[in-house]
Amino acid sequence: MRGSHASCARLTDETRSRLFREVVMPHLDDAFVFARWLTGNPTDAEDVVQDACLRALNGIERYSGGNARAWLFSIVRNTTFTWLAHNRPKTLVLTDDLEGAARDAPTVSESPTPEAEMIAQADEALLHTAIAALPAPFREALVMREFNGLSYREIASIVDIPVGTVMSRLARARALLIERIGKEMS
Amino acid sequence: MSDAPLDPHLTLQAALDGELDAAGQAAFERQLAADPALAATYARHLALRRALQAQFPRTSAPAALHARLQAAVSPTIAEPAHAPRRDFMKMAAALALGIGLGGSATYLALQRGTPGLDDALIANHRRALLAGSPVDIASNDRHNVRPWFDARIAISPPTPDLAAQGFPLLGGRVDVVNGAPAPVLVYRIGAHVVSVTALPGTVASRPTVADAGFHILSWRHAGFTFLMTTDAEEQELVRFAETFKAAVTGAPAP
Repeated sequence: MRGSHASCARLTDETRSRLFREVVMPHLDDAFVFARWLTGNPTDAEDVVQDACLRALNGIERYSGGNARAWLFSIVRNTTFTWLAHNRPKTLVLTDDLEGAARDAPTVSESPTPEAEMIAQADEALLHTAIAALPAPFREALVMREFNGLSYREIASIVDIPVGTVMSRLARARALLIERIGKEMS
Repeated sequence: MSDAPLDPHLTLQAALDGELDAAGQAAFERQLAADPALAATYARHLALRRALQAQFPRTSAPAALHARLQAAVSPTIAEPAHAPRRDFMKMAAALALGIGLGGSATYLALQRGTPGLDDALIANHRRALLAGSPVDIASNDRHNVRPWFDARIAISPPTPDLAAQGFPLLGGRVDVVNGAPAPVLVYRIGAHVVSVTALPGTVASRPTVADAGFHILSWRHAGFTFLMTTDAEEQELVRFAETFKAAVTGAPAP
């Protein structure tokens, strides 16, 4: 943590610690939930979030006010990608291939869809598998929206995509989940 | 989003996520009423939302992670630049106060004690004030607060009812102090709040700390060290501390 003294010469350790407690710590639970879905398990999420928070502490002078949670999420997201590239290179999915799919197929497929009552009864294991199977860009949008309660604008700024793309990714993610539930439960 | 009509399935997402303005929402509701297929899709999305929320309740980050990060920013070694200042006027004032209090386990001196601990206590108190609610469990009933601590961290400090003396209990929260979770009782002092952190065991003898408008007073009793942190005036804190001690020890209130 004391490695980047050159870049943080302007802030005292005391100020950095205070900023860290006020900017980063309140969003630790959210960051953990997010990282758990991105990495797939709590142990890796703990490593990733710790790493991300220490990066946030080192770069706390780059926090320029505004949405602290979105700022932390960007760091957690980048840290996760670095971590995944290092530890599980095969799980990385290129987003380029997906944009076409997201744009062309935002609608629910024509195959028989499950009734709302059936969806309501989907259990944890089924939902977990279905979410884990989503392509990463769809999954992260869904997780930030459903489990972190982030707004479209926040998601757009974290992922650095237009709000319209957030909507189409969410539409696609949800359609895929509903399809999968229909397939597994019928 | 009123320039071009949006794909109804995208509008549906926005409606589901509360991202439509009132006019957009009203228009979508008209669409829903007129289009049974859209209504069925919307019902499926609502069911999915409910299933996700039911199956994945909100979780917290592990306490160990929380503690490690707290420790990462809690300076444990006093920086030379902040070496204890000895201001004899303040010392004398504190000494007079100390004599006034007379409690043998009350140490008063306006000098910095353990910087790491003081900073952590003040930071915790400040953060609680900033957080909208200074408590994790809001209750003016000590019979709610003690079991809550017991269930969460298996420590339940004495929690006196001081409402009659003008210090209503606001509730409790759990802070991380010295890398371990610690119960914090929160009382109101006039327009201010006092955080009473109860550390099991005894902390090294500590003076009263005055730092940037915050005061910390410590008291040892019944296996706990009570560290009272507040942004209220020092006299107010002393009055609260005396009331708190009297209630815990069963002595008549001052």
